[in-house]
Amino acid sequence: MFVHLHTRSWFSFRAGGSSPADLVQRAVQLGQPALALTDRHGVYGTVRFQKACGDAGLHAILGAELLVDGAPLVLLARNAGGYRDLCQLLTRAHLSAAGISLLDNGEMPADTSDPLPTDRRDIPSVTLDDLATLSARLLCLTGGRDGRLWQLLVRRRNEDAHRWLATVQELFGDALYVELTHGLLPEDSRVCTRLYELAGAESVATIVTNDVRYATPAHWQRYDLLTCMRLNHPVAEPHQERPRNAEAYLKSEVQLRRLLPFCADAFERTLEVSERCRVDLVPEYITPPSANIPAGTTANKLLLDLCTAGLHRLYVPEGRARAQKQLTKELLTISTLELSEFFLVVREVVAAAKSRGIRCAGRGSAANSIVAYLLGITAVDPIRHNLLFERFLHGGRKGTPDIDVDFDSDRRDEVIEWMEQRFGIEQTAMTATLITYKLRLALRDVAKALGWPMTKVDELSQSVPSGQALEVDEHRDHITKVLGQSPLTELLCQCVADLHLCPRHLGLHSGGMILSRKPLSHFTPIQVSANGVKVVQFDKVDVEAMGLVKLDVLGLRMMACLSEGAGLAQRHEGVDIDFDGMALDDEGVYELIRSGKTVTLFQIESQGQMNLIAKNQPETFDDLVAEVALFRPGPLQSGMVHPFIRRRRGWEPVIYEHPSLEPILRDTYGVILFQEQILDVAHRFAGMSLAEADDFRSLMSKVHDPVRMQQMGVKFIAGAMQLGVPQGIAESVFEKVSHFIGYGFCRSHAAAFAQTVYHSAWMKCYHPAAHLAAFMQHRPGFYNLMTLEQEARRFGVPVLLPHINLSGTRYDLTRDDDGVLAIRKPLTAIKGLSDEVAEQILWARMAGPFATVEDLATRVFLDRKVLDGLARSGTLDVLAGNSRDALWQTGIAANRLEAGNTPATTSTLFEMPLILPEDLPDLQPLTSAERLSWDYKTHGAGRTHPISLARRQLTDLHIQSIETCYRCIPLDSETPAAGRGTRGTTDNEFAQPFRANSGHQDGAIAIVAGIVIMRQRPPTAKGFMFITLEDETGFLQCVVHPRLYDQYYETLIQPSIIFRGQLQATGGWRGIVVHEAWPLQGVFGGYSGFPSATGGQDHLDDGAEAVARGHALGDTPEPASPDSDTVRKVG
Amino acid sequence: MKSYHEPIDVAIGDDGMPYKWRWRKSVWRVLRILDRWVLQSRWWTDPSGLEKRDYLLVEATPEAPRSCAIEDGIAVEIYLQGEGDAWILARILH
Repeated sequence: MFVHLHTRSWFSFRAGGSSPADLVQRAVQLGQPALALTDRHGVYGTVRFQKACGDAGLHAILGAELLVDGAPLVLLARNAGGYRDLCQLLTRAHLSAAGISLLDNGEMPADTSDPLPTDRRDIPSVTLDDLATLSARLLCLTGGRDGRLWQLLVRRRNEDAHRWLATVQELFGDALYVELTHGLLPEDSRVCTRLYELAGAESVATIVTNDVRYATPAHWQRYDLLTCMRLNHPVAEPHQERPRNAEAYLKSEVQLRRLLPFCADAFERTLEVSERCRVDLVPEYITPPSANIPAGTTANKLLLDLCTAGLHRLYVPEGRARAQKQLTKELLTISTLELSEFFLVVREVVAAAKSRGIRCAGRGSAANSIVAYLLGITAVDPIRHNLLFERFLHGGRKGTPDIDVDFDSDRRDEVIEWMEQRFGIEQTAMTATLITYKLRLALRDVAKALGWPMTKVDELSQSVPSGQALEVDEHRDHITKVLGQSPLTELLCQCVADLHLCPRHLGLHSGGMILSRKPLSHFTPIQVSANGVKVVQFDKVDVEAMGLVKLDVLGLRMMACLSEGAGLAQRHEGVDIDFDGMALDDEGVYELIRSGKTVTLFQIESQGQMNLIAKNQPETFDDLVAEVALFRPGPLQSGMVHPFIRRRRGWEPVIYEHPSLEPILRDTYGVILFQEQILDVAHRFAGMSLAEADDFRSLMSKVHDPVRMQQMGVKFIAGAMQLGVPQGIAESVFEKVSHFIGYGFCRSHAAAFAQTVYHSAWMKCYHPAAHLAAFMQHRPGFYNLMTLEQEARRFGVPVLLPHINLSGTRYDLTRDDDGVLAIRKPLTAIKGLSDEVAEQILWARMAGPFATVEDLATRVFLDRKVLDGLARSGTLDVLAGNSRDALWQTGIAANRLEAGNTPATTSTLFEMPLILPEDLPDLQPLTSAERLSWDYKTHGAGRTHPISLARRQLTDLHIQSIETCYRCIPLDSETPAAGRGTRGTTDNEFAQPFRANSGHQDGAIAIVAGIVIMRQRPPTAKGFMFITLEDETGFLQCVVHPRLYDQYYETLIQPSIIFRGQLQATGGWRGIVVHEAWPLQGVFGGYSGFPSATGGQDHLDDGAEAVARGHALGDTPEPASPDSDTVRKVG
Repeated sequence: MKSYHEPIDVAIGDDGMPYKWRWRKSVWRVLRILDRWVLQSRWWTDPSGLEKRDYLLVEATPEAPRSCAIEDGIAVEIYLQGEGDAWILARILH
C-alpha cells in the first residue's frame, strides 16, 4: 500500500495544476487509501480537500509546504493541536513577510495597519528557531527536489547535508522523514540513492513521494502555463522554475517502484505515516462568539426578553397578535439551531454603533426576521411587508444565517476596531475571497504568456464582456478579429477554457468579519492584506463549513451621505432629522421620484432606472420596493419587468397559470419578482421541502449549471404534478422560474434598500443643498462632479468655488449674497491638494484670514504645484482679483521662496516684500474657454457648462438644447387604469405631438449635442449601447442600435457628440433612438472631465467661420488653419 | 564529449529497455543503464502530442568486427523521440 504525502493543488496559486477534487479522484482510481494535501505557504484548499476525501471515503491528511530558512519543508499535522501549530507557523511566515512581528507570547499584535507594500514583501518564511517551539505535533518531510537536503547533495556537499539533517532531526526526532523523489529528471537516480544512504547513516526514516504538482499527465500543460503566468514569462522561453517533464503527477505504486527499486521500506512507511495523522476540520456544529449574557439568565431567555420589549415598543396592541405568533415561531427555530447567542452578538454590534451615532441598517435576507427587527438589527417590519422568515432561516438550513449590516462608510473602521476590542484580536479577522480565473483575466494572462504584444492583450481584455472562462468559445470570432487568425488563437481559447474555476490569488472579502469564540489560529493561518487588514486563508463558503460565524460589516457611502446631509441640515437650517422614525408616505417624495429627477438618489439614479420609473410610476413604499427589485439581472433576464409594469398600470389583465400561485404572486401581479417567491413556488407549488426549496432558490440565483438545472426541473415538475398540477402548466411555470438566472433581490433586501431610497429622495426633496453637498463629499453614485454641480444648479442650489478664506476640508453650506443656501466647495476639491495640506492652510488661517497671495505664501509652506492649483482654480481670486493675476503672483512667490531658502539670503527674505508692485503687469483676463479649461483641470467642473460656449453656433446649425426634448408632450397609447402617466408642459417645440413609448417610427426627430457623461453596453442589452449626453440644460439617454454601433464606432467613443434621432417619451423620461452621429469638435469635457477626454489638449473653434462658409451639418470639417484668428490653443 | 544527434536502430529487450543498437555500421551493446530521465516541452507548438524525449544514459561498448572487443564501456546518451520508436544517439561522453 502506498500514500502520496507531498501534493500540491491549484490552491498553491499557480504553483499547482489540479483541483483538490481531481487529486482525490485520481487517488481513488489508484486504490490508495489516503492522500495528503500540502500546498505552498498555506492551507487554502484544505476544507474542500477534506470534504472531497470524505465524500470519496479517503483519509485526508492535512499539511503545507513551508519555507524554513529559505528552503521548503513539508509539515503534516498529526492532530488538531498539530494543525493549530501549523497555522501559527504559517501566520508567522506571512506576517514576517509583511514586516510585522508576532508578540513574544506568539499572539497577534493589535496594530497591523502598516504592513510592507505587497510588491516589497519577501516570500513567507520562518526559521528553524520558530520551528523549535512548534514541532512537537507535526511530522516533517525534507521537501523533495527543492528542499535543502536535495540541493546539498546535488552540489555534492555531503558534509553539509549530514549536518543539516542532524539539526532538523534534533527538532523532530522520529517525526522526521527523508523524501525520496524520482521525477525522471537527470541525476534523480543518483541523488535518491545518496539520500537513502545518508538517511540510513543518520538513522532517519525514509519515505517515497513524487513531489506532486498535478493529478494526471493531462494537467501538466495547465501547470506549465500557470507557472509561466505566475512568473510573468512567455511560454516560448525556458525558465529554471518551469517543469521539464510531465512526471510530477499522482503515480501508482507500481510506477514508482520501477523508478526506486531499492527502497521497499520507504513505500510501506507512507502508510504508517498516514496513520499518524488524524485531523477533522469540518465539525458538525457552529462555534459562535460569546455574547454578553448577565449572570442568572441564559442566551435563549435574554433573547426572548429583548424581543418582547421590542414587540411592545414597535407594535401597537391591536397589531401585536400576529407579530407575537411570528416571534414565537422564529424563537423556536433559533433556539433549535442554537443560534440565540449569534443574534445577541449581532445586536451588540449594531447597538454599539448606534450609541456612537454611526448610521447603520441590516439588510439582505435577515430583514425577513422579526427577531432581527425587534432587536434593532434591521429596520424593516416583516409583518407589514409580508416577508418570509424561511428565506432567512429554517430548520433544514445548515450553517449560520447571513446577516449583512451596512454602516456609514466613513466610520466603518471604528466599528471594526470596536469589534476587535470586544471579541479579541485573536478571535477576529476578515474572510478572504477566492479570485478565480474568469474570461477577461484568463484571456489577458494567457494571451500574454503565449507571446502576444501588450497592445493586443489590452485591446482583447478590454473588449470582451465579463463572463466565465468556459464561455470563451462564444467570443471566438471577436478574439480572432482582434488577434488575427492563427493556430495559437485556437490554443488560446483551449487554454482559457481549461482555466475555468482555477484560483489565481486570494483577495479580501469586502466586509465579511469572522467572530470566533476560540482564537482563529485554531482554524486558519492569518495573513495581512495590502492595507493591513487581517484576513484568514478561507473564503466565506469554507469559513461556514468550519462552523465559524461571519457578520458582513459593509460600508455604504450613501449611509455616510445621509449622516452628513442630516448634519449639514441641522447646522445650517436648524432641523433635526430622524430617518428611523420617518413615515414613508410623503407625496412630495414620490412626486420627485416619478419626475425622473433621480440623480443622487440611492439605487435609482441610472438612466435605465429613470426609464423604468417613468413607466412604473411608483406611488407608495411598496411600489418603491418593487422598483428596486425590478432592475436586476434576475427579473430582466427572465422577462418579468414589462409584464409587471403592464399589469400594475392596468394595461393588461393579471392572470395566474394555476390557482395555487395566486397567494404567492398576488402582490406582484402574478409575476415572479423576488427570490422568496422562487422559494415559495418550489415549496408550495412543486411540493419541495423547505431545505430543498432553499437549494432550488439558490441554484436559480447563481451560475447556470445545465445538468443540475435539468435534475431540478424533473423534480420540480414531478412534485407539482403530484399536487395535481397538469404537466403542461408545471413545465411552463418551471420555464419561467428557470429564467430567473443571475442575482435577483430578496424582498427583505429590496425593502431595506427601498428605505434608503426613500430617505435619499426625502433629503433631496426637502433639503437639496444639504443632500447635494453631502453627496459631493462622499460620491456614492456614478455621475461625475460636473453633472452633480449642474444638478445642484437645476435644483436652485448655487455651487461656489473653493475660497482661500472660507473653504474648509469638506463640502459645506453657506448663504450666498442673495441669502440662498449654496454649496461651498472645499480646498480638497482642488486636484493635488491633499487633506494634510488643506489642514495646514486652515491652521494658519486661524491666526487671521489671508490678505494677499504673499501673505498666504509666507504663512503656509506650499509647494509650487499646490500654489498653481490654488491660483488656477479661482481659490485666490479674492486675494489677487482674478486667476491669471493670482497665477502670476504665485509663480513669483514660489520662485523667490525657492531662491530665498538659503541662510545667506534669509535675512533678505524678512526685510523685503516677496511680491513688489513692479512685479505685477497688466494681464488680460481669462477667456471663457481658458476659464473653463482651468476649472476642469483644477477642481473637475466648470462654472458653466462647456456646451454653453458653443450654444450660439449649435443653434445656428439647428441643434436643439436637451431641455427642449422635455417640453414635448407624450401621448400614452393605453389608458392607465392603475398608477398614472404624466403630461409635459404646454410648450411644444416640435412640429407635431408624437406617440410615447411605442418603440416605432412616428416620433419627432431631434438633433442634440452634448458631452458624453455615461457610456454603457451591458451584456443583457443584446448589443445596444446607451450613451448619456449632457448639455447646459440637462441630459438625455441616447440609444444606439447594434447595427449602427460598428458604423459609428469612432464617433461613439468621442467625448462630445451630435446625435440625430427619434425622440421617445415616457412620463418624465426622454430619450432618443439614434439615426446618425457626428463628433462634436472643439468642445471641452467628456466623461473624465479633462479638457480632452481622448488625451492631449483640445482647441476651441468657435465655429463662426464654418457658419460663414455656409457649411451644412454633417460636412467633413476642414482642418483649422494654424494662422486662423478663430483658433486658439487653450489649456 | 561529442554530440551527434543521429538516428540509431535499437533492439529492445523483454524489460522494455534497449540492449543493443546499430550506428554507423557498428553494433553497440548496452552493459548497464546508468540513469534515465524524460524531458518534455513545446506543448504550444506540438498539438499532435508533446515534444517528449525519453533519455537513457548507458554504459555501452561497440562490438568490434575483429577479435579485440572493448570490455570497458563508454557512457553514451541516447533518447527516444516522441511516442514512436525513433531512437537518437545524442552524445558520447568519453
